[in-house]
Amino acid sequence: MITKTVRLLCSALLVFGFFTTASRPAFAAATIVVVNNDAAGEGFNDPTPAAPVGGNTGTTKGAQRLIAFQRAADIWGATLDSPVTIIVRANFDPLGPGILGSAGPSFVFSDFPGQGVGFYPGAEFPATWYGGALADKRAGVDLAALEGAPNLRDISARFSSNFDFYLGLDNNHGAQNDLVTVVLHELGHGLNFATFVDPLTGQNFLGQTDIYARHLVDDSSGLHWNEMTDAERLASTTHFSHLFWEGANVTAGVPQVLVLGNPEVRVVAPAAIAGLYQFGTAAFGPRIGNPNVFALVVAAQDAANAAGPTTTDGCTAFTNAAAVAGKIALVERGTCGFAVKARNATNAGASAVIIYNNAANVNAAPPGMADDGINGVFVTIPAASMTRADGLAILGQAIVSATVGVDPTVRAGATPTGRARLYAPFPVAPGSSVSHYDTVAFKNLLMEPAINPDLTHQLKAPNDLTLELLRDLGWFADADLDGIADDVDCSVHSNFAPTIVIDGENTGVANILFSNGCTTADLIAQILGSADNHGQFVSGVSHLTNDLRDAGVLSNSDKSAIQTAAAHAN
Amino acid sequence: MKSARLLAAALSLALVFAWSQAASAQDNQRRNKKYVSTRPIKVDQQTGTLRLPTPQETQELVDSLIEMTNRSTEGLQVRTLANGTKTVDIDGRFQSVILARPNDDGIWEMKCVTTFDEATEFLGIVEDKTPQ
Repeated sequence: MITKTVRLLCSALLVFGFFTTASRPAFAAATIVVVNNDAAGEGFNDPTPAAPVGGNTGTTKGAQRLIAFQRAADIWGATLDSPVTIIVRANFDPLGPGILGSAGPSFVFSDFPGQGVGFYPGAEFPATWYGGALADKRAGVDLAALEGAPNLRDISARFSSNFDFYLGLDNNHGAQNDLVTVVLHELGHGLNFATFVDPLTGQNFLGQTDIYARHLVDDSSGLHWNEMTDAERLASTTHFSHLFWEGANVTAGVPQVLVLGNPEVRVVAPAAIAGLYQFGTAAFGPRIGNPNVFALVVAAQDAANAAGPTTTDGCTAFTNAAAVAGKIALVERGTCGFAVKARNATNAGASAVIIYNNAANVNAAPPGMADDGINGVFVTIPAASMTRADGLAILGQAIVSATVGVDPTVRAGATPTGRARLYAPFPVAPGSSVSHYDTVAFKNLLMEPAINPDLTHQLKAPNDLTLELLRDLGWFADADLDGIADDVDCSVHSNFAPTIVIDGENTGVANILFSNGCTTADLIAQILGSADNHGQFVSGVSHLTNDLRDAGVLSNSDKSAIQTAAAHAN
Repeated sequence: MKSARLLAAALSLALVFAWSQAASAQDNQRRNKKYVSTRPIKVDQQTGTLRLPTPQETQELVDSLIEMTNRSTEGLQVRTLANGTKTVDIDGRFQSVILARPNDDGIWEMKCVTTFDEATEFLGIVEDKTPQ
């Protein structure tokens, strides 16, 4: 039985190429080096004394920044596998008010080769841009160094030195903004969680598609972004709820991460305007779906007065409260705050409220509706915002029924078929570059456009879907860094000793890595593991080495040395 | 056949050039405009309270955003390595930018953007159309 197994294994192995193991790394994961690009006395080198915080033991503000930054890099490093060191050139500078930082790949590559049949695979597709770190991983070498110059940066990052980040490592940031989380997000973009397509024109970067765009699909056409014209891509950029990610890893992770119950605003009738509508959510009142509301939509009326100059702005008590009661109130944005309008809708007995953009925001996306700190607490009904065009479409119908709630059969942030949605609101809005998951995703995800305060420092299912997307891009798992993906690797943790050692006896014979991911030492170990006795082990090793000799992998003396050591083994 | 390929290559180069010129012109247009801030996003160093950025601070902010959201390919060069690999140094462009603005509850809301228009919309920066 062992003999047959070994022969089958060998015949399969010899179809492929092989390498010696002498230069193979003995560690897994990826090494991410943060290069401190700051001058003395500023940024990472800011000497301002700082008390330890949240496990960050740095004694200066600069040291704490560097420790927190490196923590984020280490989390990524422990999550990905790459034989090539990833270099992040980073600095802290005084940036303008409201700017926290930026990051992105420093180089892009296409059409890079791998390391031969079965090993590091190179680019999956021709004429397709990859970020530098991912390209290096798939090439198995530092591509930038091929011309003689060592790689100095895969990712460039700059952060604000005048913003009060939480610098602890424990994610216990309270009302502050957690630097580790922000850096995790930005490094995610630097690691290729981004397209290089121009969101304002739909044009590819320098005439070629990119690996991220190849996974974007618009369900109205069924086309991937690399199959579209510029105009089609541009339209897809703002095709709310229709853009999704096609990739086996993300799709497998969706049920583990995203909860059932997709929030939606849906017009049910009349048929002429029925369908899903893009909406924004409120920072006050109950979440959409609590409770689900299905009702007629009624335009609210109020007095035109100093509080609000029109009869549609809902800034004072509704004059048609009886008609609105139990219905979904439709109110125009403007003059007073969102929470004031929603409070007035609550007081009128509405079951939900939709606030559509006013003329001043005619081309704006549905806004996120902030609380004013006064009125929000009085809002007890779900509130949603809507574009002006959609609001006017509803107003143009005599009778409209709609739902403001959740679809219990669809996961939050996924399509009905279980694909993760990308953020593509109309018109282009903050975070709408399609290089983020949809904002309605729940659990909240690291790579949504908003950095939500409840994020963990986890990157993969069941907490997140970032790693899964990178896997789909080509960041394949490779625990022993042999260039062969773990899911097809004959040995996930190969023995890369330079020579074959059996029971302490060094044969001096070079240990070969075959392109299915096993070394000669792995194969001998597998024979040992399945042998019932010493005789079976010796026989199995004999068959293996004979086959390898016949294939020209081993010389006669190599074969004899291995067989002798096997015979000596206890 | 060969001439058709040459023509196609020339046309694609021309398109790339025209697009990069357009992007650059757009940046210049933005730099020549006046902007005003409508949201108090600046923490005053002396009082510790929020205020609107001054006109100068707003202009500096706009300049920073133009630079950070630069998605122009103007001047970028595709190099082909000996093994056939193509590469472009895009350092400093095609960045993702993290922004923050204070909400009424005092918590800073963060958002990641990639374009100038997204950034200004989030930070409440609008073109100043008052007569100068």
